[in-house]
Amino acid sequence: MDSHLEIVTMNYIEIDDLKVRYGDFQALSGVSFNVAERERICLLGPSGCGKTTTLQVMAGFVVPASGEVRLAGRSLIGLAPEKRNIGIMFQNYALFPHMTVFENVAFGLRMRSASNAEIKQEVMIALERVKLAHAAEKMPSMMSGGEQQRIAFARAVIVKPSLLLLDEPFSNLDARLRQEMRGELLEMLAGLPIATIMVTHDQEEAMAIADRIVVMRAGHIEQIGTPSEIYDTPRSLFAARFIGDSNTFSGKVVSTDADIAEIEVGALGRVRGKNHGLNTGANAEVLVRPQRVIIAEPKSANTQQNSVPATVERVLFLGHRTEIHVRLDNGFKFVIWAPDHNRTDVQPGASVMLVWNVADTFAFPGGA
Amino acid sequence: MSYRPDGTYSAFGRIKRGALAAYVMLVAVFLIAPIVAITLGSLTDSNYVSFPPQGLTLKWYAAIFSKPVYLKALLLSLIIAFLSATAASVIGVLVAFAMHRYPTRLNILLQAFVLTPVMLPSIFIGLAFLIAYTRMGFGGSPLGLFAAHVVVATPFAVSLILIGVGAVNPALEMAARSLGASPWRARRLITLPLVAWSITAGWAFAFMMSFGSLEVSLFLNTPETVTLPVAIYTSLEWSPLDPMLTAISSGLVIVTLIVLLLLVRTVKIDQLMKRNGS
Amino acid sequence: MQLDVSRLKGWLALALVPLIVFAVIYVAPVLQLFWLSLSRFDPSSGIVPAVDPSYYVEYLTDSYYLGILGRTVIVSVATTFMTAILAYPLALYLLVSTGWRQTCLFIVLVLPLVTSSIVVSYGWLILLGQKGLVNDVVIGIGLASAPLQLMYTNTGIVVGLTHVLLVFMTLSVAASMQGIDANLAKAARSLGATSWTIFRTITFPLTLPGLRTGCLLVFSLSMSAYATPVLIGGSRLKVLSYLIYQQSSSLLNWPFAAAMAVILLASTLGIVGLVRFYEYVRKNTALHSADSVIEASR
Repeated sequence: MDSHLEIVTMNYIEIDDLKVRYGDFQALSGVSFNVAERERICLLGPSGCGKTTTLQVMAGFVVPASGEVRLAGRSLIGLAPEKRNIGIMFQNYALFPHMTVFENVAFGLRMRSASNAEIKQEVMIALERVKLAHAAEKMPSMMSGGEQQRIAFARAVIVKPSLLLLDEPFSNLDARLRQEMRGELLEMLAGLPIATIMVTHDQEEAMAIADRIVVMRAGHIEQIGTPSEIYDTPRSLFAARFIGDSNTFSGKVVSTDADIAEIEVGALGRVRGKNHGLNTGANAEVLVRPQRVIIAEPKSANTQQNSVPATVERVLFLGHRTEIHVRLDNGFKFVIWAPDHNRTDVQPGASVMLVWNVADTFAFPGGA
Repeated sequence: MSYRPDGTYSAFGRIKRGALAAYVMLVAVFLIAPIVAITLGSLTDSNYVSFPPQGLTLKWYAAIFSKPVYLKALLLSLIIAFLSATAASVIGVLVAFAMHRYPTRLNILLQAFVLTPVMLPSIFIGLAFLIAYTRMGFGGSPLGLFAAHVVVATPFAVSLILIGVGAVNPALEMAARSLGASPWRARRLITLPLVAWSITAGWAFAFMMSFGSLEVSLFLNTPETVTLPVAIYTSLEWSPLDPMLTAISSGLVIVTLIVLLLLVRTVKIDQLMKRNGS
Repeated sequence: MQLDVSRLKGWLALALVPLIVFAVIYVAPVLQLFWLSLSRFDPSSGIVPAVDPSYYVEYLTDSYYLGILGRTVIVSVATTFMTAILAYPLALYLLVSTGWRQTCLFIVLVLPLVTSSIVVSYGWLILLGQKGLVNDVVIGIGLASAPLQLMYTNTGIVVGLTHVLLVFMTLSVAASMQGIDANLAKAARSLGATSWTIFRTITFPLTLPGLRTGCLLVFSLSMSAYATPVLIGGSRLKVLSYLIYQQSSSLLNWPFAAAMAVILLASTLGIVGLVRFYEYVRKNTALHSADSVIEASR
């Protein structure tokens, strides 16, 4: 990190009220967000939420029905993709199979009519940076997945684009490989001072890579924030469920006071949680994360805590944590995570009391 | 790469595998028998067609040169096949890109136009061409023959080129565009090299179907438009036992074989089978 | 996907030339043929325009003509049957062989198709004639005492058609065989099944879609074949294609020939349609069948 001040353009990229339609289907219904000059943004959401469409609009392959896309103040609407100088990394990398690794990376420079000498120099430097100089004359099909990712990266950034787009880069990989590739990508991105927008449906990936996450659903934005902002203060049930793990159960709002709602949950009694737009009498979904719940003695809860009775169904020792699956007295299932250093010896069949903080409880409008 | 379509073959003992190979050999002999009979029969020294050949000589091939009618027919067939295959390939490229780039229901019309000729009886379209082209004024001319052969050959070129264009990852062109290539350059540098194999294969297939086509050429047959298959057909009615006829037929086989080998070298058989049938 | 104006222009830029060219040299002639089949022909004045289906009636009420149609159908069905039986081991071998062996088999399969039918039929003439190699061998082995009549028979026609069309059936069956999960047979074997049982209960049912495609294809092509049945069957054993050629070239009765051509087309489509209809009915009324389970899982 530099120690002297840098003026960083906050609204380097502006997306303003984008609307996209495919025939009768409204893919994007008014999407707006800004990206700062060196920021890493993740568009996160389930399939069909419009995240890839947003990317395609920024790349220039989809024309929006209305709305604005600005890069450094300049509107991109109507500008052909080849004139936007935006780097793209595709799912499956899209390396040109009939060209060598060298020619793949050199492609962007050739399009800019660079001289052969220039190209040779720049390409070899770029390949050295990703540690693939030795593979210059090989064909992409002979390279491993990780190597292909590095080639795709080198190819995209060698032309010094103003923006880098990544389209679900890890969705085809198994868990272990994903972690490795994610690490490699982060390393490559670290040396790169450009704005980056990544599309993914994997929330862990989003949290690992992004400075800010844009949670999307059905063509609109649910919430924008840093990973911890969304994790700690989700503004909707969807956002809360999509990021991190959660336990939920339903009830009816009995009273609201300041920003706390009190909810009647049938046989379990009452719980209290942070109110997110609930009125008395409404249906509510109550959410609490597995790692915030502990098994405690009955009656040990204080006024700032919720407690409900439950029966233990099974205990799974997973090494770094123990998962305790319980059934609440009203039939809902809960999962509790007990950390490694605080192992529990509770047995299946035991009747227990679950205790957690009101501050860790979210109450959202339910029945959606 | 070898396929194990089901565990049956891997569990075959040596006897069963041997039996399968023997069966395949027998069928292979069946399949090439008439063609071998013609080619080897043309080497016979006797004055009538005989297979196995009696004595070996190339005199019948030399005799072809004394009958210019066959050489003319061969030349016409080669030219028509070349031109038809080329036209069919051009149409194939246009159609394949139209269908893959713009997946709309309008493409049903395209398919109906360029793929159905192979589904209609050759007699049916031969007659249709005879009548219509005569009315349009070019019935007995090489132009009419050319038009008919283009129709016959196009479905073969189109089906192969469709496979080729369909096999290209659409993200590749997008990647090229994002790196600064105009749509035209992206197509020329990326897409076209990747479909080239299917264009060559389609051309070869179209050539062979045109070169060997009989029925359609028969209907449009006039003294100026005698193709090689038609020449052989008419001679067969008069003098089936003339060995020179087998020599000229072998000539046809040789041309076909050369183009077939070209096709086989460009196409990966497994790629072709993935799109065939169901 | 609906097209807006700019995308329509893009599509047209590509599709317009093929469409127009084929409209002129293909679609128009075919439509004209349908139209012509309803005209009359007078030997002295030529074609008389009319909207008169009497040639259809004439054909369909004449036992001689119907007999020819019947022979064409029977020969086609026989050919379909033969290719189906012969194709299975070939398809299996095609899939498991590698390198030059696979390429060779492919070439050998395709060769009868791409070699001009006149040459292939001439080859059969040489082989199957009274003094041909086949008869020499048969008499030599002692299977017969006098030369067999192989040319100019229905059997000869079926042999010739099978020869040309085997490749279609083989590739169709091979394509659907290729899609079978290799683990299925292994699972069956682990449960005690023999090779034949595996073929009967697993492989064969799962290749039914390919077999079906192959059968419809071979049948259609057999119905419309000209050179092979005419050259091997001769002018005595006529098939419908030959009749059409006769009517148009020697008798010059184009309208009648057109009507026959339409009848040929209709018969082929009709039988294919009947098969499809039968399958449709069976699929929708059967509670469980291998076919519907397979189709549902695709």
